[in-house]
Amino acid sequence: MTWFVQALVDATSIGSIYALTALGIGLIFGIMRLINFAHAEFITIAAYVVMLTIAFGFPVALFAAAAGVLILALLSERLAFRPVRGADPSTLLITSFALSYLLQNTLVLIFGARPSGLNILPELSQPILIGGVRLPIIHLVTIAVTVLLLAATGAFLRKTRMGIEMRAAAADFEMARLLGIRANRVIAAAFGLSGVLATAAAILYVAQTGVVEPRLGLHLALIGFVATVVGGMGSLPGAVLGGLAVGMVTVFLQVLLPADLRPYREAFVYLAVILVLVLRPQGLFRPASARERV
Amino acid sequence: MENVESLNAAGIGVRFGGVIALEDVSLEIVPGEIVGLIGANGAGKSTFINVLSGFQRPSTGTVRLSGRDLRGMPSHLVARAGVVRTFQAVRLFSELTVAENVAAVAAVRGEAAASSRRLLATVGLESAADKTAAALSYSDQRKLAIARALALSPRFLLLDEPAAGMSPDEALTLGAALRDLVAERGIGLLLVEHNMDLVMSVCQRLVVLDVGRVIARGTPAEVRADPAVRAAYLGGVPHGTA
Repeated sequence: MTWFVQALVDATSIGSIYALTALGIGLIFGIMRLINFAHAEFITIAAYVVMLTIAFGFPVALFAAAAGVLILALLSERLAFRPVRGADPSTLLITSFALSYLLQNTLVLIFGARPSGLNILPELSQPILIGGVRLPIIHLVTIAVTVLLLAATGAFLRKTRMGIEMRAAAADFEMARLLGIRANRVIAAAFGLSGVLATAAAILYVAQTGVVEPRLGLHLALIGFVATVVGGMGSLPGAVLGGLAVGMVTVFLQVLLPADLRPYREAFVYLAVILVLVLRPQGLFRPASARERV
Repeated sequence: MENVESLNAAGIGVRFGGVIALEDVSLEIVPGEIVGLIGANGAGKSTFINVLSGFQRPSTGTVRLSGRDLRGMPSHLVARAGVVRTFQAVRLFSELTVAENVAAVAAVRGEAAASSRRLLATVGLESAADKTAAALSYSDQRKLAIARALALSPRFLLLDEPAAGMSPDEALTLGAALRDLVAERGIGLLLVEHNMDLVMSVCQRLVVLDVGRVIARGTPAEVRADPAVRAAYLGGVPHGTA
């Protein structure tokens, strides 16, 4: 039973980070039909900003990373994606690959390809004992922060004008624009929010792994992308649940697979993803209302 | 003439390759009137709405809003200028609630939530405000599309088959709502519609298209009596609906 609780907390914690990543990717996809692979670098750069500023204390590093990535996200939108807006999805995709590689290689140029150690909040890596179960505090913090961020994002999308406009734009961009919703503002806001979510994912992830390297975000963004597909492209709750689901599957495979199969864990994760896509191509959590009308 | 508020299309022609979709179609709408545009499927009604709303650049002719040339203006700017349309395919924000569908637009206009509710009341949807748009019946979805278009405070509203899929009773209620709307807000309404009872009862003037050309125009009574119209269009509709 102990192992199960431990694995569950582990899975929820890593699933939370995947969920935040998937939500950041899903937001942009929903509105622009852009699969933003540069989201990976939003995450990586947040981690590097933290590394460069952590000496001034965690609050400063947090603020610097959030502000830095927010600006990066807004600049990416303005300089890279706005000029190709409305182009077909493959053009958007290639643009995001290009931006992703550009940023990634710039990081390699500046910091080198080797990983650096980064201990953000050492006190959080201590475990606490709850009812005989040893739980790393960082896992609990990760889950709590994610719940807060998801609730805040949900409230923003439901209660604020900008949020409602954003959901309208995600439902039918052309119609939203026709009805006077300012496309530039809504898209910029979505990129900003996506940048903030990337920062949160980066900090929580690095706080767990203690390592920063130029490809750090790539791993997360790939899983985040898979999570949005599994959850149902275009559905934000789907993206979040998809992220959690991938986290769950990953951790429980790690625990339950026989020792000699564990190195192939990722293969099993993606096998599960393929199964989902074969059996439910519209995604696990996509509501009936989200389907295209014919 | 330039100062009079009107939506004026003059000599509109649209060609798709060699196919003539519209030829020399002229139509003027002034505030406070309901003009019906009728014709068989493929007559060019939707193409004409596309031209008026900036979705289709005409090959010939001009579209003017109170003297201002709208030709070549992108559709969202045409809407901002005061000419708003609905679509046959409705195109609601299906995952948003009914109230949110209107609020998303009213937010643009800086209007309060209360005015969103009032718009919903205009089309008789106030009790469904918190339902998801996708959960509405087909006819309620069309009403919501009208409320949403109204949230932009248009001067001219172009409705593309708003009564499609409605029962005769619902169409009647819609007709009354449209008349009230035009009277209260002083907007000009262009109604493209197949439901002849609705068209004949609410429109002051009708324009009849056949294969891209205007074959008749006048009051409902005049149009109904026009032999060319009977031959081209109304004759094909079962007696009683015409």
